[in-house]
Amino acid sequence: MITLAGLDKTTALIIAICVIAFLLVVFIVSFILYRKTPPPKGCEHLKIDDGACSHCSEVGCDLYAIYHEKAKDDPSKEKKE
Amino acid sequence: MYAYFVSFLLAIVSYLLIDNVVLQRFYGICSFIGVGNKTKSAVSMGLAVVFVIFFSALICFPIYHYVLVPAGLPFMDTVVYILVIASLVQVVGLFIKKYSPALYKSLGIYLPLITTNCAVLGVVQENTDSLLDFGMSMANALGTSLGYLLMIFVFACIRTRMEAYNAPRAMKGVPLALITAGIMAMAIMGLSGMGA
Repeated sequence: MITLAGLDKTTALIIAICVIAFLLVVFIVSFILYRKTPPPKGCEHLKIDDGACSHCSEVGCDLYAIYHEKAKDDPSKEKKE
Repeated sequence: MYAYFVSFLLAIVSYLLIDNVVLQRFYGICSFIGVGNKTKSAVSMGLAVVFVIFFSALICFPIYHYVLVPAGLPFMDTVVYILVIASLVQVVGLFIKKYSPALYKSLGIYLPLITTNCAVLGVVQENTDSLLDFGMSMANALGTSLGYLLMIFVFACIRTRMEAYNAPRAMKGVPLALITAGIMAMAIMGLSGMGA
């Protein structure tokens, strides 16, 4: 396997920064693509799972906003958080 | 080679039962309590966690040992692991969304929940903190994730049966679930003498 151990410190640092930047780009691109990809037919309106959604803090999820809007109307759901 | 294989299998059993991720190390309690109320949801969540833990451990090990350590940046490990886990979940979600409607239907809402599951980050972090080699890191990833799947399934089965009981109103739901998890943890603790 290729390692950075044989390289001098500056080159190894530059390569490491490039790897981190690459991971960041992969994350941003995958996030945008995930948001833009339409859900498959029949899955447009996934059912909210009260147990899962009340404990989830992923604000990027479509169901997060829907669940918390509903929870405002129904105070018993808000208590679970 | 044979001795290493035996220790690999023993490590998987150890991480699966004796040093269980949820009941002994207390990682991933949030999704364990939240999703462990229906058997089908629990199995879906467990399988998704198995997939993500295994592949994030597989990707993070070489990044830490062959990129971050030689560059003198081992303190950046948590940031890199979070990026890898989040990207992996997004990419997997993207492929499932595009090519597997059936899987998307069963896993769809659990995929974002995995990103915030501390069990995934905990395993990857533990692999580097304990200075495990590649084989043992994979044993940790496999054993831990299968341990999570097993415990969330058993927990969901118990909770499904408990719903039929006439428990006091104040104890229904999460309070009874926490007591159940505590009893399960004590039962698992009984296996800790196996190594000796």
